[in-house]
This record gives sequence, structure tokens and C-alpha cells, in this order.
Amino acid sequence: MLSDDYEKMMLIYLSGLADGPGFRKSEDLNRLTCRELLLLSQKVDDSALGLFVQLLKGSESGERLFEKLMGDHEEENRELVDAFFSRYLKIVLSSVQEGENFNPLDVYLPVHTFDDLAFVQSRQAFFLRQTIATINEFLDGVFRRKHDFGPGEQQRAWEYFWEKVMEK
Amino acid sequence: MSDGNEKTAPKEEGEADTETLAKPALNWKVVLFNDEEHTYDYVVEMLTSVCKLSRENAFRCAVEVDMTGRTIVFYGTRNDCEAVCAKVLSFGPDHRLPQSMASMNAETQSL
Repeated sequence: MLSDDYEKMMLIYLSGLADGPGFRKSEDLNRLTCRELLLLSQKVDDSALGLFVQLLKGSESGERLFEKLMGDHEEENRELVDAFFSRYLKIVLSSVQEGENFNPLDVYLPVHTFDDLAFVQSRQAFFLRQTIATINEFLDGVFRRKHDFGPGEQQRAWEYFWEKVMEK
Repeated sequence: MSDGNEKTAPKEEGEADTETLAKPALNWKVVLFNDEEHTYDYVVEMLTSVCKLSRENAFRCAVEVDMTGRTIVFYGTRNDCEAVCAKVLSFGPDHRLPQSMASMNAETQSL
């Protein structure tokens, strides 16, 4: 859900992009036809497309607005629908956005948190859920040397990591 | 009333045997529910694996579940739907989010 500030900002932004009267609340977007909504989405910058969807989601007519994003399942809107979802997919999915380099441990267990042992320990289950390749890559980056824990050695990798953190 | 001695009339040539030709009705569905513990990546990964959806269709389901709270991810017989639902429920937590502790919630429902 968008905060009030973000919602206002998006409504002003969208009002500037749209023809006709502006939008004072998210519900106003529901007065657009599916075609108008999809055409409006094309004008939204990539960096704001996620906020645009969140704005629609937060509207009381969220379900109806989703149907409009689906072009009301009419063949004549198919091109616009495909274009919208194809663009949104590229923006949202991390594997596309960040290539194969996205490592959840880098994001949720960054080096600057290592002084907080309680925090690090709270991430143990999260650490153990990762693939061994993700763990090796994370450890390589953190300790600046190659690691080669084998498949199924998550627990051993965690014990190694924890010991190293404790040594610091 | 039947006296139990009636003989079954022979089938005309080409007459369909409705009992053997009857197909199981695809009148069940699997509904996936939204939560805040799974990423779009997880939903796409799970639906492409469990429901054999294309990446594009799985992504649309992910957007729908996020925007509306639910999405239908599979239609089939009751048995097939229950099998798919069980796979969704046992797919495991999202390894991308530390707060994710379990699979997404799903339900088998009749149409």
C-alpha cells in the first residue's frame, strides 16, 4: 500500500500525463476505460511503474482495475496488455533486473550488520535456506577468498560463517 | 419395477458407450492467496514449476494475486487440483526474504 505522500505524488504525476481532468484520488482512475488505462500506463516511466500498480492496488476498485489491465480480456486490447505486462515483468523480476548476480544474503545479511550478533543469528534459518552456490558466492565476497562447500553442507557453511563472525 | 430378468437391449452399431467415454469433469480449481512473505520471483518460480505455466502467465497471476488478493492458478479434476494444491502448500518458504517462513496458501474449490 502506498503512503499518502506517494499516493498524492503519483496522482499529480498521472494527471500531468493524462488527457482531460486530473485524478484527485486513486478511485478516479477507474473512470478510464481499459484502453485509456493501458495507454496511460505506457506513458508512465519505468521507475514509476511499480508505484502505478501499487496505486491501482490500493484503490477500492483494485479488482476492476486489474481486469482493465488485462484489457477486459478483449482481443483488440491484447497488444496493449502484452506490452504492459512485458514491461512490468522486466522491471519487477529480480532475475531479469539484476541478472544472475542477485544474492539474497548480500541484501539481508550485509557486512555492516556483523557486529550485531543477535541480528546475524536471527538470519540463521534464512542462511540455511539458500542454495550452496549462493552461500559460497556470499562467503567469497565477504571473506575475500574462494569457498567450495558442497551440496547439502549448508549447516557446515553456517558454522564456518558464524565462527568467522565471532572472531571479528 | 424390474423383475431382474430383463435382458439388456443390444447396442445399435455406432452407439456410444457413455459409461466408458465419460471424461472426468474439469470443474475444480486451485486458488492462490496473497500474503506479504513471498516475492513476485517466488510466485513465478513456483507456478512455472508446479502448474507448468509459462513465465508470462505466471507473472500475470502474480500481479493478480498481489492486486486482488487471490488468483486461480489451475483448473482440473478434483484429484488433479488437490495434487497441485498440495504441491503449492509444500513448495517451501521464499529464500529471498528472511521473514518468509512457509509456502503460500492455496485452496481447492469447486467451480
